[in-house]
Amino acid sequence: MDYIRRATIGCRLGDHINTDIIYPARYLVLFEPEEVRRHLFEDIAPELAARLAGKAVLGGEDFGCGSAREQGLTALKYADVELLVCKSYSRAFYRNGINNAVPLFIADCPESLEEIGSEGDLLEANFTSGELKNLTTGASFRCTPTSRFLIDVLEAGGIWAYYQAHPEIYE
Amino acid sequence: MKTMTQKILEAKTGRLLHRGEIGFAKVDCIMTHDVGTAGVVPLIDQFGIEAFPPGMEVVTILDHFVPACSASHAKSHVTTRGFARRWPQVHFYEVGRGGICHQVMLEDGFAKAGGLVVATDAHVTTYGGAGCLGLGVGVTDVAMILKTGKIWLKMPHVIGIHLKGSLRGTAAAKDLAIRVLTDIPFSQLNYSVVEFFGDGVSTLSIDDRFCLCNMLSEGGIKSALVACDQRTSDFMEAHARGSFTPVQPDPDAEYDAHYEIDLTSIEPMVACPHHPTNGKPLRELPRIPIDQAFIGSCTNGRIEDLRIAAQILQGKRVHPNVRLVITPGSQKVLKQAIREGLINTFIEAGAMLTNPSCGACIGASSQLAPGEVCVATSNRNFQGRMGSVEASIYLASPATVAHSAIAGYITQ
Repeated sequence: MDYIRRATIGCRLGDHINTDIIYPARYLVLFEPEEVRRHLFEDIAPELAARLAGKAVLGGEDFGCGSAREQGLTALKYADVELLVCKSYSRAFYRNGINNAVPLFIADCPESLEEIGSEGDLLEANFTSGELKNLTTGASFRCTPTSRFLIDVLEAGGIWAYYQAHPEIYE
Repeated sequence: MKTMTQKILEAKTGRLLHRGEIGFAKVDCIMTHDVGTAGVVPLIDQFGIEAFPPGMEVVTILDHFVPACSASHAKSHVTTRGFARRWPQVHFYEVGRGGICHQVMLEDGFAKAGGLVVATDAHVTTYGGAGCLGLGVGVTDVAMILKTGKIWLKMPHVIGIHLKGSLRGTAAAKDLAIRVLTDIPFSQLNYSVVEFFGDGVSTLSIDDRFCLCNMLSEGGIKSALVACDQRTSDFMEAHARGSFTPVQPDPDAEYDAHYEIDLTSIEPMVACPHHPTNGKPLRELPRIPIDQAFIGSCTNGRIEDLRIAAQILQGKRVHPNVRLVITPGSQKVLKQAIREGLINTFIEAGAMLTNPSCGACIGASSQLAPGEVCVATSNRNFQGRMGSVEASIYLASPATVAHSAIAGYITQ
């Protein structure tokens, strides 16, 4: 069965959204979900965090660039962001996403973010086939499928849950 | 026909990986710093970790918010010390006894040629200068590696960069790094390992190679590697703990993309706000007055960097409108700089010396106010990185920053 996630676009951001913007370094000492979620995008748009629960974040190239800090990712998770759809991700951010079972769809189709969708549009991302659909406009986009292992980890609920189910793979 | 990345990962996974394949690689060493350690500690209990994998080195270094700049940072230091005490095999570096984590990892020989090291810090790529594959990870990865001894990874695409010639005049490894980040499209750099080889490598000092691999991190790369030569072996023999395995690409290694750079063509570069890939030749910049100049960080806080800065600042005064912050990369670098008289030169010039730490680079001290401009030898000029989101950060080499501190605007 294909791994598919649907969510309404809560915000559309540009290229190079870095971890200092997502989660400022001064809060790196915090790890509790209730504390971490409070500082998401604090320096650029403090009102944004509350609007993203259950929503999709649409972003450009290099989303999550910079630091390997896990809070860059968990701040979005703890704010209950349902889905990320970005042109590309910085690799540590992407790893952290897979490990924490946050669905990060790579929207490497030739179309621009504006063509993919606007705030309020409902997106459907099929990680297995690589098809991205805007259910509001009816448009669809061909992207690179996510590899099987990564989908398995996402479906398991993150790398720890995956390991508990398949400890032999690490042997 | 193997790349250096393939050779290292073959040794660590037990099989030859091709692009896109998933492997589980044995990790030689884990490094966590103050903010990373505090995130790992709760996961150790959650994952039921009762012993660390045999043979794996674990290094913990206080360097980010050092000295503690708030009670909450002091608390995270307490958590970090608690971790080191609970696990006596951890090599722990207390405040005042190490310095910036990556510099310490190289000086004290934990990052070794042919090795695989992970760290809770993206600038772990620095170790590639010594032929060590460094991977930046989050706290979940660290806990998983402490549990299993291995890291899951996908064999990345590998970019080969053939270096020829040698750097001329005041051009530095930093200028080369900014040029690479600016010229190679992000879509190619992202998730790749960048390998440097060719005759030009031998003209780069070991500190140059660390700077280059450190800065490349800003291209979203998985890691960077420089082909090992006599200089690598000399450095390893002086520093490595135990054995090491020099690595070079095969002459017919298959790269996913291939570039050639003539080092003689490199000129002083500046990365303009707000991204390190936004490089421009210094000569094309208008006159940009500065408020702060910063020499330090895991990119350019090494002894060679301080020597260049001291040579320029010798007998000069920092411009009245500028504050110059100098942060040696480690206690060892600081001691060496004291021995060579460099620190005295800085103080006579009107610079402020700080303790070895990440400091100004991460906005842990010497913060910028709205509207202020800083030229820095560090690696990131993101909005808000060094204080206000309304400040502007320009990245450049130690020579450019030292000249700029005297002139009051970005120049050489």
